[in-house]
Amino acid sequence: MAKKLVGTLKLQVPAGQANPSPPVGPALGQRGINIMEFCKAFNAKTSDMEPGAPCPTVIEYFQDKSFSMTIKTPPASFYIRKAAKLKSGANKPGLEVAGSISTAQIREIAEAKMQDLNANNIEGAMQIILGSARSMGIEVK
Amino acid sequence: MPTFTALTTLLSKTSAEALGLAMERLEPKPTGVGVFELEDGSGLWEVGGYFSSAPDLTALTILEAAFAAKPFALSELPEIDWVSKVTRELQPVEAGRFFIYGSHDADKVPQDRIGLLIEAAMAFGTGHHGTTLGCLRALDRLAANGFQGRSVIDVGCGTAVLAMAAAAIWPDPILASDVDEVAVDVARANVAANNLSDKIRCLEAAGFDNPDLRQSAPFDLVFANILKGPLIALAPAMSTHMKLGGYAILSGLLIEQAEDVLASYHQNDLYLEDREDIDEWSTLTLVKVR
Repeated sequence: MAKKLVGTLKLQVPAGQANPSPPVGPALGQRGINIMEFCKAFNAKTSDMEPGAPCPTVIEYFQDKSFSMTIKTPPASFYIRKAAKLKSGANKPGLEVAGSISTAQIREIAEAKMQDLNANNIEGAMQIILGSARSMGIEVK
Repeated sequence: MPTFTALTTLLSKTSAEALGLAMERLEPKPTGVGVFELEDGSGLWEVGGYFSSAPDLTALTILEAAFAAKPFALSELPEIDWVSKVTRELQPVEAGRFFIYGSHDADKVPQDRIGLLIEAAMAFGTGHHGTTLGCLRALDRLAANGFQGRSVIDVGCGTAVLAMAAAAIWPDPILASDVDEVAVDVARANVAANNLSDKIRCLEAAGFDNPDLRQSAPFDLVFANILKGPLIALAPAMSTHMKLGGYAILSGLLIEQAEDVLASYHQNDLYLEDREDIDEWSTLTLVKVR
């Protein structure tokens, strides 16, 4: 069909828990995009993920109000906080250490994020995750 | 939870997308960022941020200057029922004898029309577009003139609205194909929701490149509501797989693109019989003469 893209919308939506409350309702509703059809499709696509994990989602919408969505993996910071059992990173990264995670956990996170990372192999992906952990004041043991 | 918005407009898509990326890095972080082409013909692009707390005005002012954007319009959105608002806006579409509606309008189908249930979701073809409307009207005119499709295919079917419209008025089986597997899934769901699964077969295929599809040829009616480039590329294969005297209903092309498409189809023995332009879009009905 003759899709003409009108715009894109990037939202962070909790896996399996999309509903018409903000940000989904207002963001989609202002554009006339069918909110319930989006929620239904998003929740179905994320049903195998950890409920509530924040998923960056790119929605493209077309002239006839149809849409497509690309769901990315949750941010590295989400996985790192979870692995370190922390609610947030350090207030002063570099000056204080908020917690620690293991190299094995770094590898697990790298594997989970691999599809969305700009890395050629798992070692490269681990370096990216390592950098994210350091910037949050979380050391690797 | 309150929702604050910060909206601005820019002259180009490139600068709008760059501003959108920059807004994602604001603190407090936006819960969403959108980049949209304004649908008023102005050519302007709108960038909007959604926030759960009031955005940083100083940071927004810096972004305005850096990206040569209009001053941000800030507002707190009223807490309204967005689902109801959207369903009110998604009005049914009337196209000849066909009435395309979402489930929220199921009670509005007139008795003298053929209702087709299509939710505005993850496939193109809700009827809210000049191309779909043009194809449905072209089908309505063909049928009104006594044509009966006995071997019909909807190439690039999206929601399968065109295949369903044909299946609703003619008894023979119909094929609906799309290169996009999401669209094929949506098409199957729509076909089932309209109780047409026994008449329409949905399959994934690029053009006519599918053995099941070729086995069903030649066709006496082909729908192709795609785009100019794919339409031109498809012309030889379409002609090969059509019956003499068969029709092709083509859309997805802008009015100024119609001559190029017609020229490529003339070379493949398909000639213009009917044309309708809706908004900026053209729908062509061609007949195979050789």
